[in-house]
Amino acid sequence: MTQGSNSRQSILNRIRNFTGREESGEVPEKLWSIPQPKYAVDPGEDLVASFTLRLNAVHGTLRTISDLSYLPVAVDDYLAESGLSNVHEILVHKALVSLEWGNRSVSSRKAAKPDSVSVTRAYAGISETGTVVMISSPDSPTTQSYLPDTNIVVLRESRLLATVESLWPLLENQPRALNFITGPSKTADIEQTIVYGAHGPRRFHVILIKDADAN
Amino acid sequence: MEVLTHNFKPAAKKALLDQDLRAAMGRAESGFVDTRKKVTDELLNFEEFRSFGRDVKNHTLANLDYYLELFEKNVTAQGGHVHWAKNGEEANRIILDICKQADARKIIKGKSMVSEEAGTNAALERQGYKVIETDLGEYIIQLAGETPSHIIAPAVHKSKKAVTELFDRYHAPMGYEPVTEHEAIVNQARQILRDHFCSADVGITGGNFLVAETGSVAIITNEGNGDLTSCLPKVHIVTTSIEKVIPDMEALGGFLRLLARSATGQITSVYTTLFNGPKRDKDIDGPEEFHVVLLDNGRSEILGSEYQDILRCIRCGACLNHCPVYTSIGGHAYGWVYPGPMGSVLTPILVGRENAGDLPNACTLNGRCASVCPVKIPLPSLLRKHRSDLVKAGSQGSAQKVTLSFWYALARRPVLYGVLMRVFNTVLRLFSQLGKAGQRGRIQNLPGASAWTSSRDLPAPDKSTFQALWKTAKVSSNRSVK
Repeated sequence: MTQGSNSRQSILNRIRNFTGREESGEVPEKLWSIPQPKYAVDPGEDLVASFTLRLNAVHGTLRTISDLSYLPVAVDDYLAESGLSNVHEILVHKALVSLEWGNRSVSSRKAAKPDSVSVTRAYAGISETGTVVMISSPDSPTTQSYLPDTNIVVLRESRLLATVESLWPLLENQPRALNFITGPSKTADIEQTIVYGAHGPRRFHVILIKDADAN
Repeated sequence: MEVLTHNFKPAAKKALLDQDLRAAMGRAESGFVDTRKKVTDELLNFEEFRSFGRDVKNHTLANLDYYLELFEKNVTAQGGHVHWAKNGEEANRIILDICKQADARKIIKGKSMVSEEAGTNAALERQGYKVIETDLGEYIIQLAGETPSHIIAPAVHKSKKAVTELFDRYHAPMGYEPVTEHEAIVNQARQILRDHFCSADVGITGGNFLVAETGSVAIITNEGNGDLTSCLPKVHIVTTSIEKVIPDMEALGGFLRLLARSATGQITSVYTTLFNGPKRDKDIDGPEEFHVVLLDNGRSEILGSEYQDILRCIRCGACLNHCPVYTSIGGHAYGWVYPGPMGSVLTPILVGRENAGDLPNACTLNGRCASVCPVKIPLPSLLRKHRSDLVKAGSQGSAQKVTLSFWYALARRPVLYGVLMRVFNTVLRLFSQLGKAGQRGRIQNLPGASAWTSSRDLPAPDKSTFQALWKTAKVSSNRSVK
């Protein structure tokens, strides 16, 4: 692609006319030392409360359970409340396949058009915004978070962070996709009227596990 | 995208008389302005974040070559490809090459203003590819054969009724029933676009931020179409531009707090995604190829110029939503991709001032745009700079020249000026009494100025002129000193 590499050089040359840098790789003299303002809203002591408040404000719902083993029951309840009891097959994060799902058939694979419910597992939660953080991996395929109509997300309370800044040090490597999700998909493209379920999930439910670390 | 900026005046005139457009813009303005105010106040130190945004962008621009090369290095290390494009034509050639290599037929798109700038859809369609926009607003205007009229709400000018008619026309032959309510309209588009998501070969999205330190591309959306566009097809192409690069994740955290609040009045958008290259070993979804097309298209020439501040723009649209001119005439009148204050600064530079001289003049210098800009771009000063450059280049209209020289002559004769102003004032106040009951104080009809009054009211002047007030104030302040 000679065309591209010529352009690369000419664009960089023009930029260097301004920056005065002679060649590539030179570290900027004053490398990135602008202090970021602190997020000043006091989230209070209770990260769960502020997380829930933010999530509810964007039409997401939350339920707390004390142990992962109760997850299938909590999923059952939520599907019943949503009028989805008859959904037989659901997609789940690989680590959740071995739970006792009763009559439901669960599978861990990438999502396809007919899949209507997924139960995914968040890497972390951010209380400032009511956001769950998803990391793509063979066990946690991205499509599970976007294609099904209903997305249920399992989040451990011990993984609840105050702000996004606490997340970066936890990530050793960047995953292929890092997805921050805050509530169900929505659009206001027609006359500013908010409609849920534009392209991603219409329903977004977080099941929070009160794990020991959180005490 | 075709440049129609020279047609600004007639287009703006036409827009002002379009009642449906005025209604749509009125709705949008109040929605965007109020929600933004609420969430920026709630952050408590939004001002500090604005300064942070400005400083980070200035730092990055001052070291743009370094950060772009760092970004490129890190994308490449993750198995992605970075392509540099001098202009739109070159960007489209690169995209066409990738599509050809991938043996693609159907291409889906998330919203990308850079691809609008390059005219990518038309270039792809000319080569026989089927291109489908998936952002609901973009989908609507694609069906209508129009261009976006707002950088974050492309179909803001369309009424529900217009969308209903459009859907009926295009979807009925596919066997869909007519829809009239918001939910049903959105749902119909959802069903149709799902089929496209699952059958497309290439997905094209924009990129809001390029994080140099990690080689990540960030997109920020609400509908989820950008994510489906990027994770279902086998090839993902990001079309973005060189000034979108930022140093690291710490910087990103600051911009995330600024962008959604400024754009849609949200604390955060529903989806923020960071892409780091193609599908990895053992991954069961994600694209096999990941490409980033970096468009320059004149931006590198703005570096170091008097207009450099405009390169900080993060395309939130707040300046559009707060602009009395934009909210009256909508985006199409501006004649190119970027409307409103940021567009009136950027467009003349990118398409040539000689083609877009009317844009910087369509500004009242009220300053609202600068007061809401999340990266503190001094938009009114830049617009004034354009005006002064236009005058220097001699492209000032003769009517403007005559008017200004008349005013100049008058302003140097204070007595005559004062008399004429008082006469003018009395006449205007007289006209303001002629309006319909309840509308007094607003001039709705003025002989010789019907072009103005047919689409807006002129507020009646105060009883006293500025000079008279000045005199009184001087007298009273002298007294108080004594």
